Amino acid sequence: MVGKSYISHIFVLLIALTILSGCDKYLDIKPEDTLVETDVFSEEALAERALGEAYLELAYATTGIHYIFADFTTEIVESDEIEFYVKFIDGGLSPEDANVAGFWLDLYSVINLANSLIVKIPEFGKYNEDVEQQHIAEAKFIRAYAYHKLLVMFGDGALIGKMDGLGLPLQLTPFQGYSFDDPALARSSVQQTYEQIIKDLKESIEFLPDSYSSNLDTRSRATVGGAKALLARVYLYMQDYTNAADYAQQVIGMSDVYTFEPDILDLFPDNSARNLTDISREYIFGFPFSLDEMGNNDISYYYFFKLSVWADEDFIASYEEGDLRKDTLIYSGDTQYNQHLTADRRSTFKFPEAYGRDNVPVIRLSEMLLTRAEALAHTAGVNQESVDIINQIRNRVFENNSDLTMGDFADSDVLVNKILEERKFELAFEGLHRFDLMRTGRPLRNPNLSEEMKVLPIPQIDIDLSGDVIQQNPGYNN
Amino acid sequence: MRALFLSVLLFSLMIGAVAQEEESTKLIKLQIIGSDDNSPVIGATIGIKGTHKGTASDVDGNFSLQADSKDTVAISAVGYETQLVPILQLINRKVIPLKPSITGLDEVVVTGYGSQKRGEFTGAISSVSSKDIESTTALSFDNALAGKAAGVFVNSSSGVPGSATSITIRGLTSLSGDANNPLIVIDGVPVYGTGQDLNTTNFSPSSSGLVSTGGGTRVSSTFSLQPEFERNPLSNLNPADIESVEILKDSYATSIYGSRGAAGVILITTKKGTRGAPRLDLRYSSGVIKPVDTYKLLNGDQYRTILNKYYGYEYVNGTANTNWQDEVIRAAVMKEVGVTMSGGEDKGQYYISGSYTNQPSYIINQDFERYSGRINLNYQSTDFLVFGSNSTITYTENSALNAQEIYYNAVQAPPSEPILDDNGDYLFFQDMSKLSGTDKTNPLAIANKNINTLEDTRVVSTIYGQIDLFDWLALRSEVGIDIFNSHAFSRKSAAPGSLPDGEAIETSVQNRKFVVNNTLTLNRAINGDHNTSVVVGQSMESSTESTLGVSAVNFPNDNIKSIQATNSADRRVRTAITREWALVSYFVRANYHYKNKYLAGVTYRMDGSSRFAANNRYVGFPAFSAGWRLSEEGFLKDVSLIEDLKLRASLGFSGIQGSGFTSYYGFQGQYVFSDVQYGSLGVLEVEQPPNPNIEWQKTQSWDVGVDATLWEGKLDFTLDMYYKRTKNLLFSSTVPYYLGYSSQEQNLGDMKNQGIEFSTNTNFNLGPLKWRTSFNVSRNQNKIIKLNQQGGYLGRTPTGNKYLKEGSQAGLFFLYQWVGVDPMTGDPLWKDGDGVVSDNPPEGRWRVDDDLERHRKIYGSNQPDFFGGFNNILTFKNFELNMSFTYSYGNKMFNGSKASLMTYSTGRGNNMLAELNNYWKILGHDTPVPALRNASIRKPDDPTANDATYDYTTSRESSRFLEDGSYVRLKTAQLTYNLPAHILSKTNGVVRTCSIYVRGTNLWTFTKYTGLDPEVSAYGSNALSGGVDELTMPQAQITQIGINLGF
Repeated sequence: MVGKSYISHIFVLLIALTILSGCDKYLDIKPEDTLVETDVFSEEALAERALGEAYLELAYATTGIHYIFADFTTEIVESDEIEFYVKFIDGGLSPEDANVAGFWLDLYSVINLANSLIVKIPEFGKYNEDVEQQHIAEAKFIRAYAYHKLLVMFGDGALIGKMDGLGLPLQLTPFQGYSFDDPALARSSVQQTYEQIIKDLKESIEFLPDSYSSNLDTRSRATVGGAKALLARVYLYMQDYTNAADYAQQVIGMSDVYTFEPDILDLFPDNSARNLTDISREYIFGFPFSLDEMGNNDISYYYFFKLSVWADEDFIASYEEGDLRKDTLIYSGDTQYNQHLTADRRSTFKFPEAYGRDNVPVIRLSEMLLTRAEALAHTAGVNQESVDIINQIRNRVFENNSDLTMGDFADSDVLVNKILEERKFELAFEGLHRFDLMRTGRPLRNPNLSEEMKVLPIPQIDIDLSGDVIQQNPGYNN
Repeated sequence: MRALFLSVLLFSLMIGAVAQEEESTKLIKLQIIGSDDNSPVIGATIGIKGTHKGTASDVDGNFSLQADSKDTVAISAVGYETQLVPILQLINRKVIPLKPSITGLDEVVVTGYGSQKRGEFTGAISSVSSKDIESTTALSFDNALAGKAAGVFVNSSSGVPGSATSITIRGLTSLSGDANNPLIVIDGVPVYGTGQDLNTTNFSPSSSGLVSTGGGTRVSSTFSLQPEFERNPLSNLNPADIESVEILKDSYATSIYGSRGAAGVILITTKKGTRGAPRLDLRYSSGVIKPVDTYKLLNGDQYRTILNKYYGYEYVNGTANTNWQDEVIRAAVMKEVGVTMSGGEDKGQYYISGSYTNQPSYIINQDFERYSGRINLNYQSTDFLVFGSNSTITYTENSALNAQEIYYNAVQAPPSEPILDDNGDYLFFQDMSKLSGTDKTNPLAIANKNINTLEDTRVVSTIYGQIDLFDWLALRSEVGIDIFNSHAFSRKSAAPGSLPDGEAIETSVQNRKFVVNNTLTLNRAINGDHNTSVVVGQSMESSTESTLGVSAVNFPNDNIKSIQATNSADRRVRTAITREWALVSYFVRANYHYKNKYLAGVTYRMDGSSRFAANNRYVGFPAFSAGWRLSEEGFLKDVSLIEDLKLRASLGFSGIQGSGFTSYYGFQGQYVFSDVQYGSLGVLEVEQPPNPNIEWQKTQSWDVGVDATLWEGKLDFTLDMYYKRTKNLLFSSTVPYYLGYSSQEQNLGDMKNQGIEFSTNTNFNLGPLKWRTSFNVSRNQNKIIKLNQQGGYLGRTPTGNKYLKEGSQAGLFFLYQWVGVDPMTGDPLWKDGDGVVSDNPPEGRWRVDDDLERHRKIYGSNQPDFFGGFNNILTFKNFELNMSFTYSYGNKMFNGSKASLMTYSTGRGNNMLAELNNYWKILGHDTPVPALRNASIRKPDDPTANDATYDYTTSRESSRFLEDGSYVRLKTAQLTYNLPAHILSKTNGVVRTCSIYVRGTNLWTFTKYTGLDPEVSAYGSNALSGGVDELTMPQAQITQIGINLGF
């Protein structure tokens, strides 16, 4: 029986060892075909790709119908009389509306991606600290842009100076799973939301570059100029004209980076050959959809085929005689496929490539010039600089423009109105007009729409899941 | 890994250990006979108590054995009570009579990491014996379980050989489709089981629209054939090798499998060799396979008449009258051959088998073949050391992967199209809409020219060693593997349209699983009254699953099959994935009984899984049970009616692991490379956000049961009542959008199942006629207690018909209310949410009505109210008649087949049911088929436009095609003739047994369901999406003859 006890002892010993040996490691399995966060945010090359995703999602979230929405709800663009457009124009939106929920969700998805970068790069990052800081700054720019987009659509009174109005739930940390019992995040005030946006932008300026090594990056990624330009826009929307004028001037002053395009067609080039790989130097920030790899901007399709949105004829008629923005940038779009429906319609040449391979301007130098002019007209009354800017803008699009002088403007209101009119013609179809109308108290396409109904409803799902901690906008409480 | 290594090392040490010892012995020679009829008992086991020594009786009931005079032998045989006899009492005898067993209480049931006598067990387990499995023609054993065990609902999803089966034990346990499938354990190895994520193999690679019935705008017949073939992983195993199947049902039985036990566990024990002379068994059978039924379709002339009438001009012309259905269906010939060698001596026993199964599909050119081999060995190395191995290797070639697609297309193919063109080549026809861009097809060309084959090679093996430390304490170590390699190859021949030069897809799937179990088993009786048995163990399991898929287009010609032969620019990698998971577990089970009268048990298992974050990784599953053998009490001991009566109760927990690839690494945020670029920046897409809160789904249940044997074993029954509650149900649910996501898998739901199961066996001898029956019935009621949202659709079913709602059972049909056809106008009548009946289809009010949902009504689910089986075995002299029925009552079935075959408005010109000839014709015509043109179909104003602007009459969202799916089916009927002993004896003992049989499978079905077969499911193993027939291939009807020979 020697054998027996000997074997038994070994047996028992081995079993004991098996049981006691660390099993947690055995269970720590990482996916082989995907990357986990600890990898992604520790290396520069991967973190940069995560940043690429944030930019890309920002581009997708703010182009397409989001972009066109700001024009078809105004006098610039006419749309098909179907429910989809009518509900936006006439304020017939319900909190359950899927499109509105889409606007909200898409932008918050971008915010979440930015939050991941902002929080996780410091946590996991093991690369050059300057580059880390730059990546975080870029993410802050993205977050600020997304929050501003949300605020002008969903913020109650955000464009009419109602600073105590309901702003947005300010989610500043990345998604870490959700449990129904998690406390809901209430909406901050409009004031607090603006403050957050300004804080992000100001912090980002410290670490952002003036430009990147490639012109494409300089126009499509966050830069000092981009952040300042966005600040100028934010202050203008807040009616803080001093700061708006100041930041606009800072951007205009960066003449080594941004130049006013002499020929308007160079600003909106024809990309039907799909070989465009660069962006005009007038862009301060834009989405480089002219590159095939980025896909479809989902704007050009609409404006090319004119099936559901097209340029309003009254608006076209309102251009002055000889304005190149009408003569070259308004054209007939598709003349081949749907003639029986669309032969009478005209469209914008700012997005002429049917497959959506046109760059999408977000902020360009013209806007900064006009912002500067408008803000100065408010703070300094009728002034030469504002008048000069109007002339600069008009000289590009009128062959024999006779310069305006200060004498042409009786008071600052007349000047401001002229600037706003020029702004409308200059930035038409660029996803801004709705907000310009709202912040200046002018009517949208439906002139009877109340201020409350100009604000979009908060998606009901968020109100329900928050147990009413998130409040609906006043126009939708019934 | 270290732990695994040690276990392997341990194992090899055991194999090497050999010690020898001899003692003085006596030789005894005896014959064993049955005390009832004095006939010899063949194959009785004679074992010396306290050792592993023993032998078995031969064909004449004789055995001889060397034993010490102090020894006691245990004599046992199936159907007889075990006897313990001291050797001294045997020395002078020639014959030992064995008393036939009437209770089966001494039968041993496998309980997972051990076994127990049925009489002492206090959980709910159903057993299915090899005999029940052998008497079916089921390709895989799970199909043979249908109707055989109470509480187990088996639905063979289609007539495609080797396609998935849905097995539901005691109702739906989870809202994730795959998680309702039980865990399958073969000889101690939890194997790759049923589940769509694991078993789907691409079968229809192209994205061409030819299999979609959705035609024009707003025609709501939107089913598209599942693009993947879901195989049944159990069809790799030869059912003839199975000794017994144990189905663990209540929490006391399943909690030993902890986190994977909630949906039930199926334990398979394969046949082992027994002591005695070598036995050779041969099986051969052959038969004819047909579908249980075929559709009555329009012929070419009727087809032209109806379509031309609907369109109002000669939409379809020509004179052909092709019956495509007949063209693709054949009477296929099946064959099955099996050889088994088994036997053994004192020290070693063996069971070796080989089999070949050819069970083709009834669709032309679509076959299924399986070759399997098994070697089970057991060796008693020394007094205290036993080791052995149970291993099988199988190769399966399933070339019937296209069968469903061919069938689907053939049934709907226009009868107005000829098969061949004037040159005798296949005529590829376009659908009648003649729209540019639609593919041309010909079902016969697909059947004959396209290849789509899945080859599985699988090894399931356990190697074990057991050491008896004392006669009451044993250590056992098992190492198991399941290596499952699959190779799928699909080659589409050139066809005009989207595949002018053909296409091929090749997929290789390698699944490897490694399991180590170490158990310590203690069996101790004190004073003979206090009996304790304890199993303490530990288990580790890891799995690696890899898939590699490549494809190519533009082949030089149809004869070239290899992807390698194409231009490199035409080839691409479709998938290249490797995934892993691991499980580490510790468990204990202790059973105690006092005087075999009062029974108690406790089980605990702790599982740690790699699928969960460290904070939620380990979870324990306890269970308790108690039993009372009333029949052992004084007051019942003398009641002759009651042979045995036991009350038992259990309470406990078991779990469900997350299923599916998405929850593989559930808690970790994951990123993947994207092809899209942002300017000069590359992009990493978020594949899934982190989900650290994700937890185990936990099931809590209780069970009370009665086991009784009455009238000297002529009747026994088992009655169980149970309540099962699943909490933390995992499913995708909404999250606040401001978090950046719209939904995420969350542990939200709460669902209960409660039910009652009854099974009974009777055994009567009426002179020479013996009649044995078994009957079972189960009723399960399912209810969702909490969903945390108002109710929502399941994503999995593209028909959109399955609905979840708090307070109702899961998987509801939630449909628009079809009332009938107005005899005055021929228009369909609908009932809306306000109770108003009109010809205005509510589904069409989407422009004007915000809340269309309110017009829908809940119409029940595909879960039956009750179901079960009924088996009869009549034996008269040497004849035996075996009939087994299955039935299901109260389950709803959506007849999508009929919806497809009643659709004529899409312009595609698919063929239709002959029933459509009953369309409403004149005022007052009372018919269920509306007028061809009616208020629910809007034809465009343009007379030449061919697709309807909308057609709500054949919508999958309406109740028109929802039917009662109840059925009774004669699953198997078999008549066997066993050659009598006096004829066999003329062979001088060469032929031991010989039986000849005729068998029919699916011969008869009683149902009100108007489709072909109530027992199909378009969504394979997913029980939650069951109850949908979408031209799903009906089951095969098989008539066969066979012979079994034993030497």
